[in-house]
Amino acid sequence: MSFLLNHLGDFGQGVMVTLGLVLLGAAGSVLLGTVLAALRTSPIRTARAVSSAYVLIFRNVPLPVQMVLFVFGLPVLGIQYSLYASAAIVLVLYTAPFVAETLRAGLNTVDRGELEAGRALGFGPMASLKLIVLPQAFATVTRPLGNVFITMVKNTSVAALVGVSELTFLSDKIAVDEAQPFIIFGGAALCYLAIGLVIGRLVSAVDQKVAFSR
Amino acid sequence: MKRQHFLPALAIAGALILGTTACGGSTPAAETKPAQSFPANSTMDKIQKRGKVIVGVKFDQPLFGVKNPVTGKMEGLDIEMARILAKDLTGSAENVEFVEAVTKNREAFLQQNKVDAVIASYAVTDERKKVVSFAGPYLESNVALLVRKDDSSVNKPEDLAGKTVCSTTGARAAQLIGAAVPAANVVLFSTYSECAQALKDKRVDAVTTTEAILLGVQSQNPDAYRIADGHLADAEEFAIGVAKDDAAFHDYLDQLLTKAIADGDWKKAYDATIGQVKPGDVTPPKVTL
Repeated sequence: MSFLLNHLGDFGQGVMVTLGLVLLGAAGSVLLGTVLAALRTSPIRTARAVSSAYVLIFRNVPLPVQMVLFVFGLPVLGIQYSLYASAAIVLVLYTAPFVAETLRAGLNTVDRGELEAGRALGFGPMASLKLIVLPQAFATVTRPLGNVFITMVKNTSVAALVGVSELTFLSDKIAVDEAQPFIIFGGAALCYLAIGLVIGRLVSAVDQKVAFSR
Repeated sequence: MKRQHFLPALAIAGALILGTTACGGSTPAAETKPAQSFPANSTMDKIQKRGKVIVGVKFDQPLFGVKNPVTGKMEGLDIEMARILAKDLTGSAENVEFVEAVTKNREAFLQQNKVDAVIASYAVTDERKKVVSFAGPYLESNVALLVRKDDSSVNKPEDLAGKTVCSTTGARAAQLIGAAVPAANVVLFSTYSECAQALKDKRVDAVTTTEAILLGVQSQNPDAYRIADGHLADAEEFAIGVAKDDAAFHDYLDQLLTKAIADGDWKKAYDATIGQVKPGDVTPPKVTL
């Protein structure tokens, strides 16, 4: 077991990179997902079409395929990002449709009367979206969104495919170097479990907090 | 009318499926005539009773173990070594069952007795020695550098300081480069073809691993890549992995390899595989493990 101690630093680094991807992925996919959901429910037909086309493509192409296409395909067109940035971007692109679809379910629960009341009080379309509709929608779908994020935590492991040294990648490397796959991957599993647990708790806390606002 | 066309088509499809399954199965055991007898319950004895050797090999490593996409046949130096083993124990080089081994599962295959031996471009390292036994080596090769043909700035390992080097997870080269040139950035992908693509895209400046593997990559695109003159100092040893406690089988394999090197079988196997892409004569390795 002594070999584990030699690799504690590597493990720590892997967890940090994974957490970085989780934070970037969550922030990016909430932003993009909100825009997509707003477009999807907008009165403008082109906006709805753009949003549903995006969701169709990025939700249905497997993440590893998107990852490899982005990293090894785009340079052919002269576009190249660092491996870490590529992984984060692809994670956002892939997760955003799931956020959007989850959020859309929340948007649909907001009563039409609220919008009409807002309009009567002088709110413009952007203001009513920002101040009336979205807060209620997010409050409704906190737990399903938590699910999306936990799935995304596990999806960060796909970055290992393109050489980003996150948790799965480093576990793989250490396991092969030390010829001890079971113990190392067991450790990785515990780390993912811990991250998932923390997110689960956070979601519960947020959900209780917003329970009154809806 | 439509329905009548359908039945023959179905029959053909069925025949095709049956045909491919038949091909995919293990080769029927040829006539066995063991040349030597071994103590009961030894691995050699078990192989002779079974009539075939079960060997873990790579299916995707050119020149070592690769399944030819056209013929479906296994090719490479590792495969030839397995055939020498099968010929010696069962009388025919065809009595081998190849099981796909990837870098990660080689130790597990041996620990769980899924295979008799692993011959899968298996480089000897101290960590691996703790969990499996190695017989051989059957090949010694330099750890070399593959670079872009139009890039003259990298010729030896020291030139890599501040540059990016690609290798694969599990390659010993990845550990060596870190020690030899600490100032180099190392990027690891899962296959060498991805490394080659990254080299072409200028994402990395060199690919490092066993020279024989790099020669395989380079031969696919000789206009784009070249092998740098200098190489990492260490020579890598490739050996046959067997279960840790199986000393009898290990000693048998050592003696078999020594014999194959002495009587020219080894040279024949080498010339048919790695010798095709690496010019110059070869000194067979000394069996020391």
